[in-house]
Amino acid sequence: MKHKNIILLLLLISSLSFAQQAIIGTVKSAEDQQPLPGVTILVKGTSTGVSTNFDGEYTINAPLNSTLVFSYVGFLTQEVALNNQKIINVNLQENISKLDEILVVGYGTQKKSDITGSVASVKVGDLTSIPLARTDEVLQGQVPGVQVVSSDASPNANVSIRIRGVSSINGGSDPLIIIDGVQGGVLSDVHPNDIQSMEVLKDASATAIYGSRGSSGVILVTTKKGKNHKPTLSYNTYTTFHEVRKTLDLLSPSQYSKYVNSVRTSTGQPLVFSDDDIAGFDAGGGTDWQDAIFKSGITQNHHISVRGGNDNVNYNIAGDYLDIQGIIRGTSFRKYSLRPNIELSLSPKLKLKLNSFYSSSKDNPTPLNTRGDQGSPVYAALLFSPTKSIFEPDGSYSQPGGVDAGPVTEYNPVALAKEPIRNNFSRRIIMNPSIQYEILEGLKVNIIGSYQSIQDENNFYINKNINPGATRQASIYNGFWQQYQNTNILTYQKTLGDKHDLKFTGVFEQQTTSFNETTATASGFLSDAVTYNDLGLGQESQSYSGRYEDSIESYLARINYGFDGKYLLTLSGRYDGASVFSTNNKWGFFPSAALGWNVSKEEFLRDSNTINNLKIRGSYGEVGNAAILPYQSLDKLQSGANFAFNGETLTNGVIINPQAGNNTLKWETTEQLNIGLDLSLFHSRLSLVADYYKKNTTDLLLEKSLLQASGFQTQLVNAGEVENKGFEIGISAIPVINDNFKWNTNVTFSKNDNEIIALNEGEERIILENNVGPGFNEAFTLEAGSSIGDIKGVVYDGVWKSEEAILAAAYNTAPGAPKYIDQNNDGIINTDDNVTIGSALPDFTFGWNNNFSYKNLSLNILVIGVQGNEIYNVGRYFTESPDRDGTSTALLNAWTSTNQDTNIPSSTAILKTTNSSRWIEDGSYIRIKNITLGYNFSNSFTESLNINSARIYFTGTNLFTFTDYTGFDPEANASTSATGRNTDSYAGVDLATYPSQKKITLGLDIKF
Amino acid sequence: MKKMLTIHKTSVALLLTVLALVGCADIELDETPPGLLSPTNFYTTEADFEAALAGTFRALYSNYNGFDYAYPLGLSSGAEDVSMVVTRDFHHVDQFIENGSQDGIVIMWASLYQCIANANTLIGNLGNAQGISPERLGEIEGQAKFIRALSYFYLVRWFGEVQLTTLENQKDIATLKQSSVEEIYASIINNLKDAEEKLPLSFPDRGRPTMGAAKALLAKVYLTMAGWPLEDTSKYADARDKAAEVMSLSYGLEPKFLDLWTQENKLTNSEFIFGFYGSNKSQGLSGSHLHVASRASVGGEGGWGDFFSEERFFNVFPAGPRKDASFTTNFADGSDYVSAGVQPFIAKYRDAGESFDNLNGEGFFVELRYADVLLMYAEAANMAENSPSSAALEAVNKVRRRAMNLDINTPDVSVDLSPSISQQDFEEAVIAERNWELAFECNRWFDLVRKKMVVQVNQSLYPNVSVTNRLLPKPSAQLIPGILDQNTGY
Repeated sequence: MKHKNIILLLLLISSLSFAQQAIIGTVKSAEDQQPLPGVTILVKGTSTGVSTNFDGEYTINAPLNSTLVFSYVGFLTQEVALNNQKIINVNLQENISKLDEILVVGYGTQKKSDITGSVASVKVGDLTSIPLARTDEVLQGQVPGVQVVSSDASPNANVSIRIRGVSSINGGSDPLIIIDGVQGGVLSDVHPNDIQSMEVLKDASATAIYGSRGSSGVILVTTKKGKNHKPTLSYNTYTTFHEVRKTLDLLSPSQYSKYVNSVRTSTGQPLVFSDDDIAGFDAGGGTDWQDAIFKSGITQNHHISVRGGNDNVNYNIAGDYLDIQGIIRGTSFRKYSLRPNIELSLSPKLKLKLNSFYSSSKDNPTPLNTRGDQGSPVYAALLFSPTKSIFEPDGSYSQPGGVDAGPVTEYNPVALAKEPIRNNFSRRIIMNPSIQYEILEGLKVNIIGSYQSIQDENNFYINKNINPGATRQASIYNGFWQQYQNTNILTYQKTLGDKHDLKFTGVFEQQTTSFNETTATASGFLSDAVTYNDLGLGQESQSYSGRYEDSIESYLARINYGFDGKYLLTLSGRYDGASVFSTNNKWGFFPSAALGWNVSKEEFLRDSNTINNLKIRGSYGEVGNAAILPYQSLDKLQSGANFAFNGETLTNGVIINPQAGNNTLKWETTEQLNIGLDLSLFHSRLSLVADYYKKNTTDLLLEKSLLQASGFQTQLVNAGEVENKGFEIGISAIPVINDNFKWNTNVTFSKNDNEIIALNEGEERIILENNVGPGFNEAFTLEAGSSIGDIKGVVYDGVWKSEEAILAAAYNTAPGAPKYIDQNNDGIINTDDNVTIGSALPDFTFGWNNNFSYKNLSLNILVIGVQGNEIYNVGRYFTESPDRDGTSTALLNAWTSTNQDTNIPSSTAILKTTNSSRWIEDGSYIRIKNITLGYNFSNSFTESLNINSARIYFTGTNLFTFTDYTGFDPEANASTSATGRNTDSYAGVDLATYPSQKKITLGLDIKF
Repeated sequence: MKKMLTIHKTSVALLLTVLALVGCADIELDETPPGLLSPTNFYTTEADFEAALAGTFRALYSNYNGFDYAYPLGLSSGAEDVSMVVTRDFHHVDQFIENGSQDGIVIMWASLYQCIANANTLIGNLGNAQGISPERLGEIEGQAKFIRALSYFYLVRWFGEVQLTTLENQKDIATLKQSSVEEIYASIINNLKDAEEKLPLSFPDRGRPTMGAAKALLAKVYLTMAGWPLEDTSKYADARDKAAEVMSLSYGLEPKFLDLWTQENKLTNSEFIFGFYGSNKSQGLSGSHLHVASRASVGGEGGWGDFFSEERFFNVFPAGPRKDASFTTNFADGSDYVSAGVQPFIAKYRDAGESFDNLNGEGFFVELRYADVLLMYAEAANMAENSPSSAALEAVNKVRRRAMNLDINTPDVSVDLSPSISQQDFEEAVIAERNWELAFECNRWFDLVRKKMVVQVNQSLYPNVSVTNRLLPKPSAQLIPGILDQNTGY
């Protein structure tokens, strides 16, 4: 009692001696400098409190020696001692654990603390601090369990995203992309600046709601909506300079000419290059073909948005211009896009939304991974004789072969890069209207309609400059893809008593896709005057067309139940019908169940100062996959099998389709078990998300090779089982935070093990098509016990030495020839000696993202790494072991009777092109993917310019890479099968594609 | 309050409209492909069967997978006439180190069975034909049976025991046991006899098999049956008789050997009985590729040098116009094969007329020609009659005279075989004559096999050769234990 009195007395004295003073200021988000309305400001130790107004401003009466406490949902609470100041402006840092953050989940939203599945939310604020033109690239290294691989580094390259490994072989392992509720979108269509939030759904509980397509995970993108404030204009721009990251070590003209002569000498053939020739090359003659086709690239991006609204109308209208000039001559990509999002509140219960998107692009690609006179300039640059000049004295391009050395199927690299015209235009439209209506309290209906279309027009013309013996050719391809989707969502939410939270979601959804394509080609043009613009000028013309349709119809229901916020239950079921399956197998049912326990809400932890949040999650469910082309269950015939019975004109021919029908084709199903833990400690300065999962995919959709005597080549079947299991950890921490300096760090670690458990009954292995070339027929197979992406071949054991001549002769070879391990000791090296010589799948991957901020400076460093995968270096195979005359500097160390201590076989040895571990290399790498240094101009400076905020930054991409891999790049090398399907089986093959680049970017962000 | 109510009414109406619109959306889960032919409603009209026939033939001549390209030569390169380039994985048969996963073996097996399966489908559906005269239908059937027989003839000679399929059983191929060599030959003979009966003497299209083609192929089948592995010498008489029937038709030897290998004569010469003809039309969709594959990659020849001859063969080849027309020894840039440091190249496929993009030409691959029939007659008659008759002598002498650009019908002691030649010497002389006359035409290898000479002619160069090599290994991926087994020794 006495004590209390003393305290009261002290308080009285202090309030007397320090009179109340009006303190004013503005509270903004540290991330984007937007004013924060509704921030609670308390005088510490009192109950005196106010909130910020619409513009983030506040006024509070407080003693000048007191401390103000600023708190706001989703942000870290901050205390500021007044120290006699009267103006206190505060930047609040976002709370990285965001406990009560609302996440977008399938067909709705949920509080993060109520989520039972494995859902990762990508902090878009972090993303925009790195200048990335492509949303698909920004996921790299940011989300555990998500692997992002560029298939090549060309201006309009595809990026493949894999969530928790590869679960399907032919059904596609691409995650389902949903942009504002619309399925089937393309991530690269969304500018990172236009994203409000991005959620990655990983486990079955989260994805089962998308039963038909969620088996490889789901990425939900929500684009920015209008905000309730006066119009804000933002302008972002950056310029990027690119240089090829690495060129391959190839022989100089002088080295090459001497090497070729030495090979000719040892085979008793006449010399190709005279002493005069060689003297000319020594003096600088010849061409470095990599140098000749690569140049500096430049990217420019401008992004403008206007965002605002009032109680009735909200809008966000964004426009974007992207221009990329690639590093291979002639390659470029240009895109304009517009994304207007408008939301009308007709009444408090009725909302209308229209999200739309339009883009128009022009791509000038170069062919990749193909050879010949319409082939890849990169291939050609690796193989074309360096002794040739770009041009002959008469101004024409130098030609392959001839008396000169070099391969005969590769043409002049510069001509291949510059001469063909490839103008690919693409127009995309998305119209996405929706209506939300609250029928009764807690009962809402949301009707979403969407129309998407992609119109592609690819124009091609090739003159005779590359190959004077060829014909002038042109082609026009038109593809028109359309998709209609209608989703009707009914949700009912009610809290029963105090503690029972119940939410029911019911959905009826329909989707129909149509695609038609036409190709018209013409050849024999008499001049280059009109190129592809008048196919009628060609003497010969051909046309092809195709038309496809598919549909999906779905019913689904979900119940979320929570008891006192502590115990959570989610149940869902989805019943899907897909047209692509056989008549009696169109429908599939996919249920899931999940439990969550918010341990930190229990009595014993509620008051813990150490543990702010602890949640244990578990889920189990099934998800289907129908991502296959239509009509594959049907028996079909194929046209175009024309034959010239009279040796002149063709008779139209029809054959049985090489792909057999399958009247039992059905859903591929993935069962997934997930156990996860969310933990946050020390006032949320350290958070951890850890998940263990086991995914088993059965009834795999698999393109099976049939026995040829059946007359069919392949059949799409359901067969076998693939298992992916692994764990992933994400750690976020704020090791240092004070008024001036903050260090925010984020580590992701993912480990996935892939195993093919079984194939078809009685089938031990399936041989996949060979996408490399002759000699590689059984390199790609699927076998029970192995992994998708394994590469098979014989084991390379160096070179036969002179003292091993007798043993070598037993293998029909001789010293100097490559030596392979005869696994079955039958005296013959053949595919029976194949073993697994490499695996495309890494042991683990990781990402480490750091944000440092000091006053107005910020520094972001993203490190990514991949460990334990192998790459088949086909580029090296081409340059070290080509049809004629290799170009690799490794050949200088080729075996000779006087150079026995080498791993490079003699250049005259036969049997050179065997598929073997000689070409396999460790693909592990650690890369400093991005370093960004940014500077936020001070408020006084920006105010003087009458702008809200301004930031400049400088980014270096791919500047430092630590790897033993000798190809262009360990990261961007994924290749595809000839048909473009089943890419994961070839993920370890580097076909020397469009090489990756080092990039330097300068950028500016302004908000008005 | 009233305004609120109005808004409510509006929204309910709007909702109902939207629901009505989307509810009516017509989702069809049954697939009805608008752009695909279905086997159930095809194979009825004459045009349908003609198209099916073209597709069946195309299996053996398209996409570098058949007689348009080098694989048939590669699989026959164990003979002395042809050698394959080492670096393209083609040389394994040439050097007797073949295995069942190599491209040539895998691809030719697939092409031959593609042809057979399409022929089976066509033949199995003949009963559904509507509005086609019996003669026309017979012509279609005869062509399909001829090409099916030809495919099996290659299969049985290269691979031995394989599966005999029909429209009915090809769906259950995994349980269809391989047939014996006798059964396969019986099937080939049945097909060819049927074709012989139904095919006309000629078609306006030179590339269609005729009665003469069926007879000539039958003669070759009988002659092959008389040698290894069946060694049914009674078939010599059958071969002689069939060859004689062809000789009674209107075929003849071209006066000049060189003229056989020019593209512009391909449809008019009197000698070709059956062949595959490339076309440069439709952007080379059904073009020939042997010209670019067989030209040297050196010497300014602009080819790929995939296959060529061998000096050991060139050196023993009798000199004369036939030799000059068979080999390319001088190259476009003035060098010759010696100075260019390569082997002699093959001339027979060089001329492909005007090619589309250099690659897809109007060249041809001749399967059966009259000189072959004459030599078959000579060989078969000699063996059946135990000595060379004057007709047998005349048949081979015509070929020998033409080789020297002499008049075909005028006896000439400088080239004619002596009438007193023994049966054995005559046999050897005919087999040798076949070697020169039919060099690079996929002939010599099969002669070596049926005459059991594979080891004898190769062992000095390739000590690893053995009787195993008379058959190729079957494609390893196609084997089914107990159903389709690998040949002994592989």
